[in-house]
Amino acid sequence: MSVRTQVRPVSTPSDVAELCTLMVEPESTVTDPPLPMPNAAGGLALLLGLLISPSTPKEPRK
Amino acid sequence: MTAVARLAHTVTSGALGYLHANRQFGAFEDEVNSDLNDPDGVYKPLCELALAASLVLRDGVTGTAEQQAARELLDFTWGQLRRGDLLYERQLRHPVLTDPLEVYSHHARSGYHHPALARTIDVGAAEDSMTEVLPNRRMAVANAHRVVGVPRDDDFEAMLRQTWLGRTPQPWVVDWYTAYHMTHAAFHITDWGGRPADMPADVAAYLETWLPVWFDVWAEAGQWDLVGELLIVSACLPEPRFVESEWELFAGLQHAEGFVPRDAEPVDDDPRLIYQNHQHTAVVAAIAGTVALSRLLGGGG
Amino acid sequence: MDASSCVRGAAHLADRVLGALRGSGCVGLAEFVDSCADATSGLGAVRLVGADVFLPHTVLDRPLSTGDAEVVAASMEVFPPVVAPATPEQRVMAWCDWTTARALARLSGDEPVAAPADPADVLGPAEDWARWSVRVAQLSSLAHPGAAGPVVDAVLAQPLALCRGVVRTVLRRDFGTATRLARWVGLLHAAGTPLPIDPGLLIEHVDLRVGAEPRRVLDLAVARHLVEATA
Repeated sequence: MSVRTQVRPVSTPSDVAELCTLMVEPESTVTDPPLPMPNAAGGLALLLGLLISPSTPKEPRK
Repeated sequence: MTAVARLAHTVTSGALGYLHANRQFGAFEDEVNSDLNDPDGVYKPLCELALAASLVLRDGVTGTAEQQAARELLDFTWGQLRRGDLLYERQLRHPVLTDPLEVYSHHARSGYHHPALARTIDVGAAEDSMTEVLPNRRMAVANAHRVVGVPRDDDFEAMLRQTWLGRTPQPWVVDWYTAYHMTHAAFHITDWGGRPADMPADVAAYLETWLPVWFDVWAEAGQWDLVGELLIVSACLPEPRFVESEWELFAGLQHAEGFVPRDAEPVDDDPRLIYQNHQHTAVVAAIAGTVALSRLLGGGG
Repeated sequence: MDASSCVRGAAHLADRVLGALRGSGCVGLAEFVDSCADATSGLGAVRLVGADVFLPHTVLDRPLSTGDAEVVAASMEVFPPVVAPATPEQRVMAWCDWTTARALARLSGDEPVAAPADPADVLGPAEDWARWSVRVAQLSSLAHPGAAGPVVDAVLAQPLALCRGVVRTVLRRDFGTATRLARWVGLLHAAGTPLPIDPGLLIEHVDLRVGAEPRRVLDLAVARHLVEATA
């Protein structure tokens, strides 16, 4: 018959330091904000100029 | 605020100098008719050039050299547009398009006139031809008519309330494109900082609250063009906001040639490609500097 | 100590807390620690979740179980609080530990625990709202119904910095930080502070996007309680 000894939990200073790192989560290092979609609506990243609306339609040549 | 004034002056002076020195990259290569095969190619940058130069002349806060460069830029754009004939033909053929009116307004603001085009615009306004437009574009049209001097019964505040900005939504419900709609709504309600008191108090308060966040987020993502537009918006507020760190960041991006890169991607060596890619941001920089400087010196009514 | 079992354990524990909040009863910390691969990681998980193990008590007014309190006390013996916090992270941990210790002291009737230091030391200037709000997020276990203390007072005084911070996290799509700030937004709302954003809409927006990580779901549950309590 084996005797199961109760192992008393212990920690080391580095355990505590590691716990601190786990506990204090930094914000996400990589940002993921809204960006232009290069292939959206015609392909030009800067569709929105200061002035005019998106590309005007081409008229058939007479 | 003298630090910001210095930065604003350097930015606008450099950007204007760049646009002036490289304007040939923005010239029509061939004979172009009013239908314009590729309006986003040369025409649009030409229009933006005229806008920037017209605001520099309007504000009159930069030195003689800059004023001279602005005047020469407008001579150039007006020449490219066949002294307005191109715009006239285009507006006549396409009465619903807003760009001839808008481009003309920047020239008219600076003393270039085309009577036949002006009459066409008058008739178009009476016919209410430019109606199917996005809310912020509706405001662009209204402001352009106002600058040209066409009497209309536009209700600017009502139009503003139809825009994203005018509804002052939860500030995270925005994407990159909407951010540009927002900046333009601010530009048109204040006529590019010329009428800052026209911005309603609640919209001004909303912008004061959230501009720092939008600036921070899009600066982190290297979206310099948009960040430059946020600087313009800041200068257009009834109580303009100038944050030295924001101006330092933006001015720090400016290359020796005077352009500001549109984003954090590597900048090409080829001057023509540089113009193609970064001309818009140079326009933004030139406008940001002149409007900021003008407000710092007490302009804007 | 095995860091990844600690983190996994913390997630399971958060689930138990959520269950308790939703009405299943008590958290059952002793049972939880027994269910862990080893007691050290189990107690580490309890330390990670920290004062949030008491949420059924603070949110629903359930009595604080002495059994649970004993486990928390044990976790603080095995992983002692930092005596002289020197780094910013240690300062954050000191305040989180203080919140836990204070709750234990209230239950045991012991002397109230002295606050670590001036909250300005851990938070930094509110003018630097981006960095300030990240610290506030890290102190999210201090944000719960009935919360009080120097850090709470300091955050309550800065609705603009807080709201700017949370909007920034949402735009950066850092929903993990957003949930923690949402708790604070809820707290300010519950305190009657006028806010330039709609706390309810914020919670819903983040809820749709944050995923199922239990500690984050728990944050939103706390935020909702704070907002709905004043609805």
